[in-house]
Amino acid sequence: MKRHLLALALLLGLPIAAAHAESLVSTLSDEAVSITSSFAGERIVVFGAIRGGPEDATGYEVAVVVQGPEQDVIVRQKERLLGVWANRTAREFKAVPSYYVMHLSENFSAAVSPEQLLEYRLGLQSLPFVQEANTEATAERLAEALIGLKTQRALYVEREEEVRFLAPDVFRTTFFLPSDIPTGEYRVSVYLFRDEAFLAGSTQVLSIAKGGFSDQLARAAIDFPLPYGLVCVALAIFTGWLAGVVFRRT
Amino acid sequence: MFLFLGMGGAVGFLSGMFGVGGGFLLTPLLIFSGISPAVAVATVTPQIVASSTSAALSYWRRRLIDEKMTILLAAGGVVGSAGGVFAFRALRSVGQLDLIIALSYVAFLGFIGVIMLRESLRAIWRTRAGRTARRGPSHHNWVHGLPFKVRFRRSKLYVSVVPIVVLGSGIGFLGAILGLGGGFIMVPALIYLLRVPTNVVIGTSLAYTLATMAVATVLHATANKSVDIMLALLLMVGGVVGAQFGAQVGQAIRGEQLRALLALLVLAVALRVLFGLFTRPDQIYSLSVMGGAT
Repeated sequence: MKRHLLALALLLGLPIAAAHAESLVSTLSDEAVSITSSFAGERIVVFGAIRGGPEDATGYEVAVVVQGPEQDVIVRQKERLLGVWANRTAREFKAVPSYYVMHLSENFSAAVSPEQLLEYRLGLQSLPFVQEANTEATAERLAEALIGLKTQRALYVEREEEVRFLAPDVFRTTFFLPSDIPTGEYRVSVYLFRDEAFLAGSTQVLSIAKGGFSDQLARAAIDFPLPYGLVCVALAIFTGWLAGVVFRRT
Repeated sequence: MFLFLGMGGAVGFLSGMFGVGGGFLLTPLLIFSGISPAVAVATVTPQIVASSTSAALSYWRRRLIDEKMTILLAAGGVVGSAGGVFAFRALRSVGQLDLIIALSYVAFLGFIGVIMLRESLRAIWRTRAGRTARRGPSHHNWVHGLPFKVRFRRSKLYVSVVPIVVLGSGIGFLGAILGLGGGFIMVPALIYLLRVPTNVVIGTSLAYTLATMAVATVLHATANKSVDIMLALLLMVGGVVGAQFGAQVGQAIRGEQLRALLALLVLAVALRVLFGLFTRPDQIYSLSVMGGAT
């Protein structure tokens, strides 16, 4: 599969000498991921090729950003209250990406400064909810805590030197979807720079859906709560009755 | 998976041995094992339905259930558990559910545990001393002065419906928030407060628990969407099997000693929950998605 994609990428990436307006072609190793009960996370490979650059082009810089569906979340902070640890401070954050991974290529990592990343709107610090939180100390602290919690669960990742060039105009990176990712449409964006100047970008959609019996059950609990509750009760009464019958004989 | 099957089995064993529902042990155990309190409470509820069904059926066959009283208790129970589920949701949305559950468990189990331990130690002391002076419940107390009296043929009682409905709704409320059937409050309350004859008390309490917890399960499923049917099934299977073996062991041990053991167990759970409240959590920040189940 990988070799196949590489061949494709190489084919698409054949440099065209005439026009020096670079364009970007990228592809994913999978376009849809199905989460079943045995899902233990999955690696997705992003391949990219640069077209339309000069024959001897080097020095391309690449950033790959994968962003999951946005959610509104509440972050709560526990504090000591009469010796007991209780939730005290809370902040609500709107439009928080459920998943955010940014991989940079080696030369990009070396050249770019945090300020430039903000300017390009790349990286966790440039996410709108983090920017909005910067006006207030408590919100800022809780936004940082949110990033910390997400990072711990490998849902937020920033890695330098993770996009590798296979040839001067062909690159690849691999990102990991952990087992507890939310479902939905994920956006995989590839940005191409040279000398910190933006040249081209491309976006792909990766859809993540649940499959398998236990996940259908989990969905039924949300979509059909009343029948689900009634089935629970029926199951409970049946189990109880069955146990009564079975153990009365013995 | 086997952890929860085993947990259901262990709690079922204890509940069969001591003749209690086991919800008050199972819910904290699930929370200790990392299940979120909201899911633990809502999932133990159908488990209680299963365990009370098998026990209630055997009392039903022996005609040891006061149906009229059960209906009145359950009527209160439905209102109480609806209130409980509503309070559960409100507490959860302000982020204080976990704390309230923990505090209630400490207060509740601590109180019950101390009372039970004291009572059972006294009983042990009394048998050691060779006395059998057991004070029988007198036939009248303040409850019998209340209005709206109704006759209960099976219990051979003529009492007001007010304490019955209040009792049913109060225990239903607690049960829905804390994930327990409440048999261990209902039984003494029926005996000492309403003077229900002991032979119909357990059956009536079980039938009440069955009805109330069935309603609470449906309400938890619709209002909070936090019932995990697979987990509940594992707990049920473990529970009903464990209860059979527990009941056999329970018959071999003397009543007072059994109650003293149960009291110690209850106190141990209370202490463990209390300990959890005062130790610094690993993570002082927590995240919850708005409108989501987790």
